[in-house]
Amino acid sequence: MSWQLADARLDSRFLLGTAGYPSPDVLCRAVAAAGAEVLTVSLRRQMAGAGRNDFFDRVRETGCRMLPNTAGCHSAKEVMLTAQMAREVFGTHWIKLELIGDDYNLQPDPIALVDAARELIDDGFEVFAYTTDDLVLCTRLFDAGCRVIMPWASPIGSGQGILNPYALATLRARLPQATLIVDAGIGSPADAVTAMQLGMDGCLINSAVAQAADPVGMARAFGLAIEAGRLARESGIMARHDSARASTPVVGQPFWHAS
Amino acid sequence: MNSTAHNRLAIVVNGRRAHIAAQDLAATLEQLGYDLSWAAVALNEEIVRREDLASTPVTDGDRIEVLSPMSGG
Repeated sequence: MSWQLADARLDSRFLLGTAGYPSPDVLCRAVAAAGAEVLTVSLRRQMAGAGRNDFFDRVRETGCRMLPNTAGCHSAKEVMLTAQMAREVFGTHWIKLELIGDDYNLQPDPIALVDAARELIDDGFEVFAYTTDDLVLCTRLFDAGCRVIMPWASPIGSGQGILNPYALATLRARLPQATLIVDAGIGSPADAVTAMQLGMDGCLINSAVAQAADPVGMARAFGLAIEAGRLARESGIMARHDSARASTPVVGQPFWHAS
Repeated sequence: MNSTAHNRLAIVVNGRRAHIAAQDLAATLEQLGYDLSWAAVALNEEIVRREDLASTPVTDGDRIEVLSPMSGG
């Protein structure tokens, strides 16, 4: 079933990062196996005399939409310049806003993030805001105009999975109009299932696929997991109980159970 | 930063120093071996649109960034 992501209609809820694959060929096969329609990319210094950009040729051939990021930016000024340069090259007004506040855990700078988002939106960008799972920060981002909010599960590339499921569930409950995409820290397809069952609208995954022993197989596994988690939520997961409740009917039990 | 000879400019491109004859930004970057077909350019931390590269002069001390698509998460 298709869904709305910003101004795009998509079939897949799996957004895929393009960094760290063994080769461009493995990346492209992983994209196909994932069924992804949105790929994150970046801008970096060109090496003089390097010739044609094989990476960009290959990702363009996938036909996926590009979501450029502002990875490595530490200030709103850096973010704005990077975003403008990304728009120039990729021809999209989509931008994944990353404004880093700590070089160890790569968490966003919450103080500068909202102002940077507002500036980008004023300049015509559709901001996909990478953020922590803090409710107040996410609310500020939404109020500033971010339709797409991307809370972390755990630090980028850590593979720790969802450290605070309560926080993600709270975001879903309190920001019903926001598009929520878990970004950062997902380690296994089980994490993706959990994210979708918590009510996330999609998952952005990079390291867990790229660093798998078989990235193509893992991309397919994540694709199935995201679909399964979404379907499970839509199907109504049973309530949890503290005590056991026999599933087999008591009526008509054979005589050897009589006291 | 001082130019080293008459009509030669000392600039920094992608963090590396270069000395070039005075000319426009597009010609400068092509001369230095950059492929501008899929690149964005910033001059002194301001973006220069593709259509303006050929009409933007380079001056002594300019800092230029040439960025191209790369993988990212």
